[in-house]
Amino acid sequence: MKIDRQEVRRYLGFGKKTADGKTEKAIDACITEVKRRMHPREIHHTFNIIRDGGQLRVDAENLNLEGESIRIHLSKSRLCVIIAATLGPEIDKTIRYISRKNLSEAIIMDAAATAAIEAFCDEIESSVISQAKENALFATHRFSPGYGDLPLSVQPHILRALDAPRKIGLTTTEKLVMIPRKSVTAIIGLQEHTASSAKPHCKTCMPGLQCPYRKGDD
Amino acid sequence: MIDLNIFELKRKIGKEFIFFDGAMGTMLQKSGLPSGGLPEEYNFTHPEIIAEIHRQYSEAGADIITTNTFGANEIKLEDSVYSVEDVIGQAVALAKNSSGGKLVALDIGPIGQLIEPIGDLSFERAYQIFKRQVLAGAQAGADVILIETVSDLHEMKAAIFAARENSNLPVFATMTFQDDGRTLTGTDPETMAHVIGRLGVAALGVNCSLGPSELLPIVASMSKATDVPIMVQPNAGLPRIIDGMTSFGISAQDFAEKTASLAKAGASVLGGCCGSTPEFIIKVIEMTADLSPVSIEAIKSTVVCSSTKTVHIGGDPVLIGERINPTGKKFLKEALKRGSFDQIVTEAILQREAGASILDVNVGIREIDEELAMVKAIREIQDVLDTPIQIDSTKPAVLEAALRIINGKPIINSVSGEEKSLDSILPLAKKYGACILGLTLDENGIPKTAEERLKVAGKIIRRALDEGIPKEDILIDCLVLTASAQQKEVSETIKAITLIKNEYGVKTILGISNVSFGLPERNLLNGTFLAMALTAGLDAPIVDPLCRNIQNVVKTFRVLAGKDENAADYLNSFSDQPKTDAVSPQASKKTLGEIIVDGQKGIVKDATLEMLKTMDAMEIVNEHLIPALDFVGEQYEKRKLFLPQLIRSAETVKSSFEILHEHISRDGKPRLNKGGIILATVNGDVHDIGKNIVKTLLQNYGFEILDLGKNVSPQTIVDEALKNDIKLVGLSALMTTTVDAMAETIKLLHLNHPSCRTFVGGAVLSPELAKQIEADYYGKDARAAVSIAQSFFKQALT
Repeated sequence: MKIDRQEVRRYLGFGKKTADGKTEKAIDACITEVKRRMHPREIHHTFNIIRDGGQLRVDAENLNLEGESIRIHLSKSRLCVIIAATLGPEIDKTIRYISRKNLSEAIIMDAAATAAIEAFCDEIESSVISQAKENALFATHRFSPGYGDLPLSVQPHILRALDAPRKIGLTTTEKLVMIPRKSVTAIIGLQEHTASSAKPHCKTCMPGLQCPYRKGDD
Repeated sequence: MIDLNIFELKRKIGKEFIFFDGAMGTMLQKSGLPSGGLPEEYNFTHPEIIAEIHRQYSEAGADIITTNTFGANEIKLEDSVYSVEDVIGQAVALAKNSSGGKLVALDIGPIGQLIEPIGDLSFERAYQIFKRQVLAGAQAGADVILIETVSDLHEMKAAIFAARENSNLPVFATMTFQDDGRTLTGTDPETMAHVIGRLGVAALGVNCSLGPSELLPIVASMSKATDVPIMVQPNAGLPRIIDGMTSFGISAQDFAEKTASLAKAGASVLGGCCGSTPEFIIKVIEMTADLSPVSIEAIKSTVVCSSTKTVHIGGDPVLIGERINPTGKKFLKEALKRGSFDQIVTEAILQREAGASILDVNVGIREIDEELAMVKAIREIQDVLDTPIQIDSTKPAVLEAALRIINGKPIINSVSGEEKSLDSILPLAKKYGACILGLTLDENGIPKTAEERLKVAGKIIRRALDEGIPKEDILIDCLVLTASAQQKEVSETIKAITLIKNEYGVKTILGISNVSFGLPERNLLNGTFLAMALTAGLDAPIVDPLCRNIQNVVKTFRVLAGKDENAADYLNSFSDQPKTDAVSPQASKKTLGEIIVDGQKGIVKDATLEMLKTMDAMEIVNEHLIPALDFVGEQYEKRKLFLPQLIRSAETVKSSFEILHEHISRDGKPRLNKGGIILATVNGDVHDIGKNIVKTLLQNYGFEILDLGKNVSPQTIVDEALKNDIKLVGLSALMTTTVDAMAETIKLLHLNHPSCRTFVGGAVLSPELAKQIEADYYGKDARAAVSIAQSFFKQALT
């Protein structure tokens, strides 16, 4: 897996700029450390999409997909692939440890780990796309709970449908925080026609949100 | 075949093979029931199918039939119409009625949420969840308890405590390992066997995970570590997904052959997990008909463990770090009184990095609740480190509270030869499977001669063995008196080490530093005394691992005693002396301000000390530190500098502040304090980097921060604010789902502490949302928090 330095810089707020020498060196060191401490594991499964009047759900118990955004996202899909991926708990502990010693480095490592889980999801997504191709299907981009108006409350149902706690150790807390921290769940639609190439963009996600990772205009 | 009753089971276990059944999930799938829901509800909706599965396994020859209750806990059943008691009652009845008199195991799987510090579930809550299942199972008439597919050692401990404390049923405990040989939370089989093997379980082992061939090294590793019977329930090979259906690779015949190999490696309780069927159990019974369990004899080794690491004592000296102890350390005392654990964690990290393999933890000061402080300290250390712990307290209640929440196998410091001590401490060590440190003193004090100390050691060892504590879990501390007061007796300690080792073959511990008390250049004396003790056979010295002299003695001793082969470590330690950015000629020309802007933590202390020669501490703060910080902050706002750089500068200021604080307190003046502030990440939220950034910056500007950590309950925040008379509280939340907890905290503060003000921050917050939840201030970032605090305390003054 390749962790993109450019992404790490973006999460740190540098935008497209190169950082100073010290920070660049720290980014290198953190990327190496993240690779050493991560245990990427994933599970994904293809589900039928069921449209029940106004309801959108998939053929797993209690897995309703609520909200307008996911409805639009899957509007042309009959099937969807649901992914759960995690880097494992060791990376969380490492970040906590470093943050006690050197907060600046911990911030960089946190960004590097975020870039790593995203890179891992990119890999899973490409394999889903190529599998879809074999079946003459096109894949949409991946769409995660919390994007647009797809509520986070779907998270435990996704994890249960994939048996994620048991298979890859991915759980949520009562307040729907995913544990381990560096984890992603996502839904990819499969459809007969080319999917729109427009990625879900930060601008469309929860207007007004002060997200530290919001992709800026620079 | 005669059915096994519970007495027979207890007699046979480990001596003859015991057979569990195979998979439930696989059989449900084969019966055409959909997956993804709550399989526990099938006990009600499809009882005939569940009964049929039990009947088939019973006929296949399984001795123990497992109930369909894997997820029957109150968290997973939250949305179900059935309660934990309903499900377990029904499932046990089904198993009993359909298995023709076989023993019935109450099946308990993981909760599905993770315990702190990985997750946010408290250990006590996990215990209560399991307790409910255990009580229901015992009530319903289950014969044994099977705790399985657990990944987290801490969760396993909670489940075992719940089972042992709320029932008399034999406990079988298995965990799930991944292809890297560890559980999903990082526990290796050796550590699991050492920790769980001491908790009074009937059998321990591995289930699910992988196929039987892949489990061989795991079983081998466990059988070297424990004499407790080993259980295996492998999957039917590695899972493969074909057309969206999970299937498993190997045949029943193949499975049985491989399981027989596991039996030869030490497993004696056998069964199957995912993909296995009654046919698999029939074959396993056939295949092992001519075998008997190998008598496994574990290597008797003295070990202590964290959840992911086992430290062996004996052979190479093992350093126990002594620095987490408020005795004689004013800064730790003050911190404990304030309720701040940052310094304790810092001490833990420093000692670990300096080579300590075990950390002694002592928080005993009169002014605080030692039990609460001990639990908090251990939690904080476990949050960031995997170094095993030695619990240091004179109070049994404190020790017990610590023993419950330690994730691993600790040492109890200490028990002595006094009756009162033996009676109260030994049962704790036995129950919680801890090592003990036995002090060679009794009602008559510390004996003068080595021979008398040997006698006391003998008494402690005998009593511990009688209690059922194995010899390898006993460590003896021969105690050293100060050379300044009792010079003649120093050599008695050295003599006693050799005597006790020769006579009893136990490992020895010794607190070194006491020897030099009352004399100058204590490190010199400590170092020489350490060399003498190590030569006499001391296994684990309790020392200050940060002390250069101690490090050098250990390094050189290892070469001279032949422990450091070819002096490799020794050579290594001198070849790569760290090249820090320590005072280079150019660096020394930089002003303090420039050093801060460049974030050069390595040289800021020297620069501060240099400046103190000509300048007052307050002047340095106001004329140099704050302006440099302001400059960096402005650059950050103009997006000329970025977060890592801002924080690097902030940490550089922090280092400078430490020097100034020391200087000021040496002059007997009060600490710089522009106002006390509580910071916390709210209940249910586990993100704390943002809060830590705010904290560092506020500290830079001279505010005294009481950091309550993450996942903090509203009540704790209110209590701490009232107790410490704090008027400004900063709250952080990163999730939309935890803003509620923020609102609740603010409400509770307004109600109980009306003069207190709050500021809030975090990714999901906006000025509007802050207003909505009635926060007094909104901080968009750490710089804003500084402005809020500055104007708040300015107003408070006027």
